[in-house]
Amino acid sequence: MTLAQWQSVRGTRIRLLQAGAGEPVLYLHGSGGGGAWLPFFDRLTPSYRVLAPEHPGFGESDSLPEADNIEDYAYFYLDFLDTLGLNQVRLIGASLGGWLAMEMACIEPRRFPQLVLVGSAGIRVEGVPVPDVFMLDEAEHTRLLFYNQELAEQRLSAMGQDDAAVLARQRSRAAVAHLAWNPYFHRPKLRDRLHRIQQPVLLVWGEQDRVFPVAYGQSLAGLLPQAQLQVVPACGHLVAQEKPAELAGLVQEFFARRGEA
Amino acid sequence: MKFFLFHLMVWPHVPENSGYPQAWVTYPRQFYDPERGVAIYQHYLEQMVYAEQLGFDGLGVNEHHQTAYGTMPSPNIMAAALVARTQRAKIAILGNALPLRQNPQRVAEEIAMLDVLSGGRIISGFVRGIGPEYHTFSLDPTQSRGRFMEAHDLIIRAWTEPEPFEFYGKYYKLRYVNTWPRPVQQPHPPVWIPSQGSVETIDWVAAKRYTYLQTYSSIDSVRRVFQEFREACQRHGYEAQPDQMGWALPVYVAETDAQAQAEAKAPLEYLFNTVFKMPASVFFPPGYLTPQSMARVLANKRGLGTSYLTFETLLEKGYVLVGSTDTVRQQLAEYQKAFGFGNLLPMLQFGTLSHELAMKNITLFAREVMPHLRPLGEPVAAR
Repeated sequence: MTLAQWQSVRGTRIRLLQAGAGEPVLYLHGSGGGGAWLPFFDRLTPSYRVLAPEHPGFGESDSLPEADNIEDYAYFYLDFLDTLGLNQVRLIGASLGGWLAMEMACIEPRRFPQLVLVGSAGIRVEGVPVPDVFMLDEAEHTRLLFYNQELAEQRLSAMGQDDAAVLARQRSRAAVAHLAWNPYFHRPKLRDRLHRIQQPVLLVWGEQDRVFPVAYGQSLAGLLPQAQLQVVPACGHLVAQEKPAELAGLVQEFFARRGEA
Repeated sequence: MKFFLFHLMVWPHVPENSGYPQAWVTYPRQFYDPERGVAIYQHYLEQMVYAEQLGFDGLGVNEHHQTAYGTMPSPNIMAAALVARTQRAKIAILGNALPLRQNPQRVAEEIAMLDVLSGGRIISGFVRGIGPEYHTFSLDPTQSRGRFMEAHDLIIRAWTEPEPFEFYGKYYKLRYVNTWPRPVQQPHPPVWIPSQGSVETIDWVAAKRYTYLQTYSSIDSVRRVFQEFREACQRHGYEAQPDQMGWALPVYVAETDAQAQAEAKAPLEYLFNTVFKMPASVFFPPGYLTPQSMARVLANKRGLGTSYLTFETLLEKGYVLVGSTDTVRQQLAEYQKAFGFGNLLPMLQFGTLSHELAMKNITLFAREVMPHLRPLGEPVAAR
């Protein structure tokens, strides 16, 4: 059973979905926004407590007006974990959330025994062009995210077009723009700090990711000391949405390995 | 009423079906032909100088970047060119896009220089720059309003404080602000704020007692915005003066209504569609508008900038004024009476309108329209 609740962190109230019991797993959503319980979480909840907050500035969560950049969000989530009294936490981050996970792990590397980064933002890879999603309208952007275009059309037709829904999505987009407009979805300093993340990292990439191509995953695999890259065939940027069973299998297997080590 | 010839200095050679989604941001610079550019600048400047000779009170220049819509990325350079070519006319700089400047001290300096050079003829506009500018400068659109406000405060202090001071803001941290030269007009040149009609801007302009300038919108929006401005001034404890309200729009007059429409149709459709139209993601980058303003501005400007507007629509909705001198004179008199503005900024060259027709338009407007409207919109008693 998923429990939706409000969690206050030093006065900032965010929406938090959580379920399951066991060691905690924090899922950090991407720029498309959180707020939904993803099907692959259900494969984890028998063994783990999954926490899926909605970032400040997204959906119904409060804004973080003093935040200038992703680092401020990283400190926010460190405060979030302190508030909940969670010390050792596995991180899963998708896209923007992957970038956020790496920022957090660079600040407090020993707090996070394992990281899963899915189609992660956070670095710039010279010579690998990426599209400017801020130049795209909602439909173009949505189609870019998926390999299976039927899923893109499903997502588009499910989007509310009433004023409240449109304004809510614009609010999330503004939060993304504030973090990722320039430098584009990365922070130049992060690359030089990734050596601090000595723990095992699982990189999961859709083979047909057109937002951050697989070359980004390969580059991260070279920068993170203990990373392995898993490429999911016939899959775009949103692995959790497009290949939930494959992602769940990879994550379960990766998490289970910790006990063996 | 005061009259300012407003110019965009449009690039008039974008093909109708250029194959590009917009004439902004990424429209290739190879399509700017500098050889043609020389003559185009000369013609546009000639039109503005001629307007002064015909009795216009002022000339308005403008700022946009990386676009065929207007070839004046630095309005201050064009203002300097006009200062050297004119003797009497005010020069309204509409620009400067404050957030686009790394250091707003440069704006304080350049406007002060121009004010001294011109003997106190400068009107200083402050704008945020429209959506595409934030793509062009890779500048976080969510910071646009904050940077604008802070830069404004810095510039006003730079113009008015007698001693060097430290400015410690969120965006600008400056140990020594001590702007030389000082402007001739004291305490500082008049400030005009062009806007798309956002609630926050209207209220702020009223609070500051600046001049609010409505850029072209449908006549219904213009009516509502001026009404809101007058109400905002009342909330701040005073009655809006006519000279606090300005309206900029394309105007075309000719011998008859039919002739005016025939001559203006293609150039106006070029202006609004070929060079102005852009994708919505470019016009309204995320966070550029506050949520409160978003719904408002979208309603005010529905269609403008993002979809095709036919000449008939432009005319019917009142985005433009086109007709015989009699028609336009009557319309303007009615609008002035209804809205109360004291500054009119007609754009008398627009789109592909030829130099010859632009000069004819300026002549007819100055001789047949302007004199009849002069007595309107003047304060009855001294303030």
